Amino acid sequence: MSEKFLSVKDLNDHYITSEADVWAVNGVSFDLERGKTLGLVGETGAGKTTIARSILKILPNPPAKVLGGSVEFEGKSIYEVSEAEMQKIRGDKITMIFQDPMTALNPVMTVGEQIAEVVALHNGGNKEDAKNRAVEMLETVGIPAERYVEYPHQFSGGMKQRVVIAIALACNPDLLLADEPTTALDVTIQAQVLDLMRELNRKNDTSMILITHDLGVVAEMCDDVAIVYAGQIIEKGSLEQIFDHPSHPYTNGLFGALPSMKDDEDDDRLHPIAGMPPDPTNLPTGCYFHPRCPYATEECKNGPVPVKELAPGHTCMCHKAGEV
Amino acid sequence: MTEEKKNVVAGNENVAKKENQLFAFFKRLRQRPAAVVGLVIFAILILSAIFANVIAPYNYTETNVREAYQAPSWKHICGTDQVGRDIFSRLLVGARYSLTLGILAMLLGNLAGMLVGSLAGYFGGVVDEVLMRILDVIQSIPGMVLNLAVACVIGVGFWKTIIVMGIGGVAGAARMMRANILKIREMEYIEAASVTNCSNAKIIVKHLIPNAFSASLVQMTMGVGGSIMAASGLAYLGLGVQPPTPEWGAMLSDGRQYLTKFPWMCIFPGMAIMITVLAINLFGDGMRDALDPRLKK
Amino acid sequence: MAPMIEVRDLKKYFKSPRGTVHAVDDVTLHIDKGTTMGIVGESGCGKSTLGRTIIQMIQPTEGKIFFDGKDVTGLKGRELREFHSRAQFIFQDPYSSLNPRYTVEQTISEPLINSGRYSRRDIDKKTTELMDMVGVAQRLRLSYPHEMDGGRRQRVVIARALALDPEFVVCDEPVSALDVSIQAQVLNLLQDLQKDKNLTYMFITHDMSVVRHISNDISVMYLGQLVETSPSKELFRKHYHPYTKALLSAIPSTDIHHKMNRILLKGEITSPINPKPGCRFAARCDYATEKCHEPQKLEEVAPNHFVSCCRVHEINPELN
Repeated sequence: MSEKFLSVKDLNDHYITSEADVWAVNGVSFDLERGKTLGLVGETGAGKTTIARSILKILPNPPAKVLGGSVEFEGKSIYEVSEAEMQKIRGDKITMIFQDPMTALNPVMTVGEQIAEVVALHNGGNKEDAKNRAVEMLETVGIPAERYVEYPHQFSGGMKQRVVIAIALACNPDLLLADEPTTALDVTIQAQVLDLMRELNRKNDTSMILITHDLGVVAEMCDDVAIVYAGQIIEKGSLEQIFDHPSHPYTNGLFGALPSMKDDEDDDRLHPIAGMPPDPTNLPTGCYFHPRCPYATEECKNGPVPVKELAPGHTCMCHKAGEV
Repeated sequence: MTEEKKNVVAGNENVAKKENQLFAFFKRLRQRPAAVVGLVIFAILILSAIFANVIAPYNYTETNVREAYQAPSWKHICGTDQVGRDIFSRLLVGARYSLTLGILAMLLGNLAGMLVGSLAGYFGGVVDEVLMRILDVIQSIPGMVLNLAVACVIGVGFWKTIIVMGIGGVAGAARMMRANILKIREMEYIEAASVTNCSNAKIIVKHLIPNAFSASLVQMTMGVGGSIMAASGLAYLGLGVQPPTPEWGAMLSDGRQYLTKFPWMCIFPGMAIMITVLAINLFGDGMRDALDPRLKK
Repeated sequence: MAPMIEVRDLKKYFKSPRGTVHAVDDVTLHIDKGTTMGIVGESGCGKSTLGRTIIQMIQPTEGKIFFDGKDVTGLKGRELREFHSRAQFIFQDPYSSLNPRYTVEQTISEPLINSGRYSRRDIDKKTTELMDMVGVAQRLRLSYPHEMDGGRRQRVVIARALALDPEFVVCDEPVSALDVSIQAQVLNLLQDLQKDKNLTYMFITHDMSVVRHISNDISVMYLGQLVETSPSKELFRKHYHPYTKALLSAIPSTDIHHKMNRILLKGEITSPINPKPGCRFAARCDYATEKCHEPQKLEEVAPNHFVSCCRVHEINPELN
């Protein structure tokens, strides 16, 4: 796999409204190899979803504007292809699973028809084939074929999310963008759905970008991890690198803020990160994290922050990377 | 995102807050040009109603049979009616009656409707059932027939027409309020209010109505135009505002029989009603947004 | 230690067009003064209804609630108001639990005004103190909820709940809507307040790591029934009910080197409408037999560790 599968370079997205300029994504770069899963981890408003949407070119414009950067998918720059070609890529090659399964499905169409519709759109429109494929997909995600004719309201939350996954995977995409796919689900159902996604991705050699705020889910699903803060990737590396040697103060803060499940630890108090996430219409100068950072010094308050490579593949955007 | 606010000294708090809110309201209103246009037109209408006697070129009751049926000209910019009265002067004076009628009828209907709707929505159960069935009965009667029936009972004239129109608006307002209340009743802050020992009255007045109100505001303003229109129908049948009161609806129905030959007798009162309704609707739309602190951004 | 709250055979049924919803079915538990009882379970298991019933926001269908030794079931009027000044509720969603047209000051001072115990001056002073206590800056006094982030909003909700110095607070998923870093701040605040004021908490959540962190005891609910109650540290070491086992094994762990053995459950949570008698979990349970369709009883299998499963000894040989 020497050829790069997905390569995002210096992506910059802003939301421009009459009152403010929201700096949503500020220079994000990452690569993804075929068959791997990358976790984008960050808190609400960090820009994770915007990154995924700009890969699919589905940002609402206006107010969103891609100010710079490039996305190369299988050697093709998606910002240079025509909209017609892009539509073929969406669904055929790249699909997205949205967070809320309740609103992602059409309430007046049976779930089977919804899957078949997507298949027909991308496989030339043979209705019979599409229907067979839809039945096959339902069974793949663990829903009996008899339920083809049922409507979304007859399904529970977990079942709906399975249908959404079936739609996303119906055309064997090469890349799956999953935006908090299990956040709305209960833990036992989440376990079922994650298990299913992992199995299907392995079987079809699908790559995935998994957007989540749950480090536990990342630990279960991902090969690589990128931590997003205020529209920047402040640390990225392999799962082991990030979980065993978190280097950015923010990454450390995230782990510290989690209540521990380990038995032996004296965990009387949690260690939250001080302060609040920055306002994306008015970001701090220098390192965006410096107002909340316990290690911040003068050099952090102004000027660009270097990206240091701590180990092969493990980068950290911090003056003090490797020292703290 | 938080807005920096001045630290207010304890004693001046309420004053500062009120000024703040009013100022913020106008600031937000100003960002909506349509609302400003509506407000300006509405203000002009109110002013011309107040200063009708000063502006009006003729006495609105003065008849002049020799100048009857005149088309609009520099002398009579809106023409004259069948007895030679200047339509423009009559419109100006009529604004007093029409605006008062529309606004008072709307307020009366909506206040009563809001009360009924709030009670039904908040208490639910039997209260809701009884009130809503009564409203069903009222609404099953065609609007005009209901107006006629009420007018027959209470009588005719300007003030009585307001009451007739008000009663006609109760059912619609009550239904709308109830729907909004039902939505807001599910919010956790209502539960929170009851568990922090707010009385039912306080929950309705302080928590439910202010939040349900803004959604009703636009429909409420539309009621002003509706009342003026309905009152003209009633006037036409002789059960509304009585001639020679130059109420716009009465003028409109008065001119209807001359519609084909002397259309200005209908066109100008009709336009006056249209402009008023449009201005109020534009303003109502903008006001709903400006009143909602959530829509500041 | 005397129990702050004792609940006996509490039932809450709702009528629905499709039948009777057994939201809470025969729950018995007690919470000692100054401790925290965690209630965990998945959405729709009745944990929130249990909390609301105990605070008397809704009336139980059957059963008794004792508060500080007194029967408080079905209180009305002045007595209910008195109870609500001693027992309070913190809501899950700081977006919908604050009136969007109320400023921070109006929200926090409302219970003080309603109580009728304070003068205008005292209310101002107490509001200031409450804002300091929960860490909301005074400059936000006249701010509206939409002008604040989720963490601050939840602090305002906490201040409102604690305004009348209650002794017992039901916290219904108070940190579920918050990001991890903010969640930790709010959890610390709740713990500090508990220590300062000797508060008793009932902490309702679906997040196992949060409940483990904050609770002294944990009760696991499944479809309206309590399936297991235990001191919280012990529960994570030893759990005997098949549902608890599956639930705990399903938590995604951040420990990448020790993978847990996951028990994947069959199917989905069944409907709480007109349920069959017996164990509600039987339909999804690998160990279910005929016996499971008879009513189950909580059995003390270890000191303070109760399990509601007729096969608990067969499934867990270590208990014998």
